Amino acid sequence: MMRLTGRRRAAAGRDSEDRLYRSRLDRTIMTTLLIAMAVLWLVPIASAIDRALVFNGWRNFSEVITGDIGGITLWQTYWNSFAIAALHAVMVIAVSSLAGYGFAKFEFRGKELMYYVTLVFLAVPATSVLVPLFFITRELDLRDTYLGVAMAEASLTMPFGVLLMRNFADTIPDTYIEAASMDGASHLRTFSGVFLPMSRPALLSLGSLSVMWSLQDFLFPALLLSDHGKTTAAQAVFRFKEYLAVTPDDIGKYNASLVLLAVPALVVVVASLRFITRGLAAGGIKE
Amino acid sequence: MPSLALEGLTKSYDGATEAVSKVTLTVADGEFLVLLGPSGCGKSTLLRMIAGLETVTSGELSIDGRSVANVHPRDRDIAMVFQNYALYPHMTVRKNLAYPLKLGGVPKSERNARVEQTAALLEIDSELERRPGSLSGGQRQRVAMGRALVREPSVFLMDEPLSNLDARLRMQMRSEISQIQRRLAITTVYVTHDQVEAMTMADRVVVMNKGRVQQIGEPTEVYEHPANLFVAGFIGSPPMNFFGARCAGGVVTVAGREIAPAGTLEADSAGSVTGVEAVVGVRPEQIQFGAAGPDELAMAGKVAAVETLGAETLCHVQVDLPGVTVEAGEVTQGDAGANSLLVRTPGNRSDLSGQDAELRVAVGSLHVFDPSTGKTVVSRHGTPRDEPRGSEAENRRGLEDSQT
Repeated sequence: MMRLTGRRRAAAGRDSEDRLYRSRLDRTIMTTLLIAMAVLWLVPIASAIDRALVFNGWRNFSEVITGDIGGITLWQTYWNSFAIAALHAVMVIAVSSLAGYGFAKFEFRGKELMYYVTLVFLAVPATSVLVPLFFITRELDLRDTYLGVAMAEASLTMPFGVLLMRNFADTIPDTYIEAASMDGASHLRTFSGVFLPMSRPALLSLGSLSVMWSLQDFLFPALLLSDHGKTTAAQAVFRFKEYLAVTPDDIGKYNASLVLLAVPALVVVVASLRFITRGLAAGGIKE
Repeated sequence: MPSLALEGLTKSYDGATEAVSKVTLTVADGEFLVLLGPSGCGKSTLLRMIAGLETVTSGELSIDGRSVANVHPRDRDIAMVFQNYALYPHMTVRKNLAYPLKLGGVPKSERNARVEQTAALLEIDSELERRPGSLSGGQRQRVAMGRALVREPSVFLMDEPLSNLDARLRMQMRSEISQIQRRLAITTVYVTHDQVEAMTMADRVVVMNKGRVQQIGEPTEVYEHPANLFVAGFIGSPPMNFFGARCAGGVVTVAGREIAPAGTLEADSAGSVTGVEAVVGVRPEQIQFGAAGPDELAMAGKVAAVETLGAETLCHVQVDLPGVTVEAGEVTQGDAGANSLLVRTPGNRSDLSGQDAELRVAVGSLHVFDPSTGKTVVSRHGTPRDEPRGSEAENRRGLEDSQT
């Protein structure tokens, strides 16, 4: 057995103390930075809550929750937002999973070109396709419908969805698809019975992100929904201003509505953070 | 009637190079055939062509007399065990086993009965409600076999199914697979690069290299009568020793001693580009220490290194014989200098290290190869090798086709 001399032992001890000291110092610096960042993020939220309490205190919140604001309740805006978000997520998942599976598991002429063309649309800003999307939706008679907004949103989310699903599909060994084929499964059966269940982490991640992005979307609802009854939570931030921000007394209520309108997206993020991170990480690992 | 028949089966991805070239062979009903060769030799591609997972560039493929070259995998009446098992991770063992039956439209009651029966056969009946992720490597292997067996296919394909298991489990599963295959008498094509698996499990072995069949035969036949330099060097662990020999006056001579008639060797190719007139091969266990008798070749040398394996010892002996470099069955270089022979001797002989040694080898156990074509000219026990060996006329024809 190797025995350490006194001097060596002392040096080894100093070395481990140095490492411990360094890790403690690192930890302290990192914690301080994280707290500083959290405070920076919290300042606007805290400020919004503070402004929401002016004049009537917590009553501002209860009145916004129970009251009717310009012909629509807060709950109706929640419902509208979630209906569009759900449709959006279903469309994105359906198209992206099929496309991702196809790009990853089939060989066909022009495959890579088509894939890269799809990815190029990741860089297209929503504002540049706003006018065409407005006319397409109008031609399809989908203005003032949940489906119309969801389709417009999906057109911009799908390139990311295809990217995520193809990356994930690439990590699923081809032998699963071949095994299903030998077991007697058709392409569609392999997709639904083998690929989709195995892609659960990526599908949950994509679904959660799709819902979150749709809940946050202001542009397409503002463009395509003129019916007050279909106002979404994000859109209501603008519409409630017309009814609540006119008198100084209502300023508190308006700020309370702003805080409450952020709640759905916040709830979705908190509830699905686990799926989002797991799905995104799974797509990046080649097993 | 053969269960599986391949006629000139060829696969080319780019139209120029052939991953599998003109393979002709038949597999009898209930036979265990092993495709053996190094990585990239085309054995897995050939298996995938039989499975229908790769398209056939040219040639014929039939199962039970029915041409299936253009038939979808699900309609070929075959089942396959994949190297990574490919068990569906979201299904229980029961559902994994039942899945092919469900897709085949088998009624639920019959499905359950067959799953239970297969699980009992493979001793996994207590694991039916577990998911593959919670099973050990050996259990997963059994489930993968079960999923293939439950369909009662005409042909059972296995693609290196033991390569993910540790050595001990591999040995156990080797014996179990052999027993199950013999009990069910199911026609099996098994791919491996492990010659121990091939030698212990196969009824016949197909040795492949560079997409071509090198030899087809029973394991002992392939070991004792290799058709060419590649088979001689690939089969056997430790591998066969090779050294150069003279070829003149109609005989092959080593160290001045005549060992075999040259046959076609002298007329065809003696004195080839490598500078080697003939290549002689001898298995390490055929060389012994001691003075040579009348029918033996004597060699003198020095034991350079000793590897003790417990029951036996491997000795590296430097001898004064012309060396040759054999790579993938081809003589790439002749060397007039000293050569190192590997000698396998029973017991612990670590005392031999550094000693001068006399070696003897029975002349009848020497193999003689043509250095330019690699073909065997004289096989062990002096068997002339004018024709490649194979158990059937079709195999002989296939071998000839694949070597042209």
